[in-house]
Amino acid sequence: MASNLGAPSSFQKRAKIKIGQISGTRPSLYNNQLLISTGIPSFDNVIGGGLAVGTVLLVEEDTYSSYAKIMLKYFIAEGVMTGQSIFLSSAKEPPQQLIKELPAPIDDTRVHSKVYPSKSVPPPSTGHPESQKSITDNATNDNDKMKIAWRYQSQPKVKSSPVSNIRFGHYYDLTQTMPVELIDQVEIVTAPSPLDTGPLNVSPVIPYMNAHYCHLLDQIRKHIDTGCFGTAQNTDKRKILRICISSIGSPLWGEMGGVRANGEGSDPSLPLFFIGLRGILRSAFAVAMITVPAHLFHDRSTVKKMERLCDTVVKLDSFAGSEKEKNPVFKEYHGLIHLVQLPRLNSLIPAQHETSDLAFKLRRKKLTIEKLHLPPELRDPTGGSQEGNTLLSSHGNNSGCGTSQSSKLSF
Amino acid sequence: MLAQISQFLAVDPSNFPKNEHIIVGDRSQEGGFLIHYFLNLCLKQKRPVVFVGLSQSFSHYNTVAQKLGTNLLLARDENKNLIFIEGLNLLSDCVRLYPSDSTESNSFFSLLKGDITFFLEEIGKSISNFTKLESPNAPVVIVDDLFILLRAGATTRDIIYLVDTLYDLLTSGPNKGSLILLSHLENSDDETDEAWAYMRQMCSIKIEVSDLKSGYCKDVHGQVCTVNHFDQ
Repeated sequence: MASNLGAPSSFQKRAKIKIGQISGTRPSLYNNQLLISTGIPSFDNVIGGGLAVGTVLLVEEDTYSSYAKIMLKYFIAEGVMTGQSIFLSSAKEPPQQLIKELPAPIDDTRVHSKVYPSKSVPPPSTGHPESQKSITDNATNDNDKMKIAWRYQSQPKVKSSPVSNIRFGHYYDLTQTMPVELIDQVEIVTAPSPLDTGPLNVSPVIPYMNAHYCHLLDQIRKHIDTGCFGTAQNTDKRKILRICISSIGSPLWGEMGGVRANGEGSDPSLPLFFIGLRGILRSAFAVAMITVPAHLFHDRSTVKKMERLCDTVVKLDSFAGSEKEKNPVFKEYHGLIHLVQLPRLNSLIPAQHETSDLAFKLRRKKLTIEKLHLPPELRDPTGGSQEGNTLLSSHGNNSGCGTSQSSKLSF
Repeated sequence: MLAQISQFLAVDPSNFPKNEHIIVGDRSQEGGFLIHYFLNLCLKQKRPVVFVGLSQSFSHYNTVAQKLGTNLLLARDENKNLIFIEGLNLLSDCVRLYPSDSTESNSFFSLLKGDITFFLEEIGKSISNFTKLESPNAPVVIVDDLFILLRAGATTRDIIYLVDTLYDLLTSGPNKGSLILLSHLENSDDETDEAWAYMRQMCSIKIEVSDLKSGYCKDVHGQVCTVNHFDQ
């Protein structure tokens, strides 16, 4: 932009900082880590801007694992939209099924100008080049008018964000599925599920470890190696690998609810899997999103152990089938999302979240995560409003906004 | 911040830890800052340090250390007074279906199988390397999250034996060294409770970090409780 405005001035920046060279990433404002989006912008916000490259996100599934699956689809869809590579493993349903059900991106001219590189796929919104051109025309006209100081002439008018050229986070429509042409453009590798491979007759290096987990880790290692995702490997086209593993730790993987096969003591297989995965990812341009059916583990300490070995941990707590579904306080939402752990990366303490009262809401077209707000109390506070208060206090939410029942004072 | 911690622990930051056995129990997620504090303290005094990083990679510790004013890279590669054992990578390398070339030489592999001698030998070798440096300062061994080994399947007995032998190893030399162990504790987990109970009775300083009982607060992250056993 600066070059076509005449001779370069001595006030120019020496070096251009190359931010966002890798598609779909942006640097974190907290610790300068490279972040990628989870596909749900409201979720990115609450976990500190996005997922840092080289980390593991653990999602503890809701009881019917329906919302966790939606989050996983968003995660994959975001990988497709930003042209990243995807490694997918799923035991419960075939990975192809998951890919077919990805949500469709919402039309956005900037998205389509980026994602349709070939002319074989026509951009759906007609006439967007004209609109873009008119914007640039306006911009140059404005530049001509600017006579404040000559040295500012080469500066762009508005710096919207440091990564203006590369889109971070997209919006999706859950009612439609992603076009096959888009999916075909990215590399998606699916790992055979434990049901496909059947019982593995090889005993792993560590004898008490579940062979299926070892097999999966070996495949991830191999894929990172062949796809040049390692930090030590040099490649001209750097891409991020998204590793998506659905419902690991379900009985389909040969997991016995966190107990050893002989029934004595806890099984370290799944914690070991997370140690292995973390070690691999720390030296790779990869991010893993893993959903675990935590309610299937009969020992809560097994889940705690796993949480400690991951970076970001969230727990979905759906209202479906529970008492809270009928509670008027929660009628706006479909469940609570607990931020169990935020990553501690290159800093003394983890990123601090604003509030721990977060809820998710599934609208017709999208899943959003927002702060839990109580509905306005419309009834007369001295009259029959006690119902809402008791419901609140039974949930242990001492936010102090409800009037106490015994108090007759008004102030 | 570092000076405040020294003040809180009532120690002299220029001559600490001196023949101490410090255990840090973390019941929250934020006790890691103490490890960075101790690492910083030891390197500023030019102590020879063996650091076993089981929960994070070297770059994490290095970045934090730089923010606190020490350079781990320099200490490791040029001054040679820091030996960093990439425990996370080594542990992760053990978790595979088919053995690789490096599996046999990996001391964590035998550790997980119940034989801790190789691991102890490795640390012992590092410490004896320091004595070749003719550094007058006592060596320090720091382990960031000892209980990751427990989670990876090592038995409580092995961990207790490991702690015991490590301490003996450090104090047997002419320079009485120090041992600093961070461990994440879980409520109602028998294995960690058992190991922690043992470590508690043989340590000289016990520090416990926990969340506030009143719940999450943005300004105050938790509380630190320390117990000094002066008689030891």
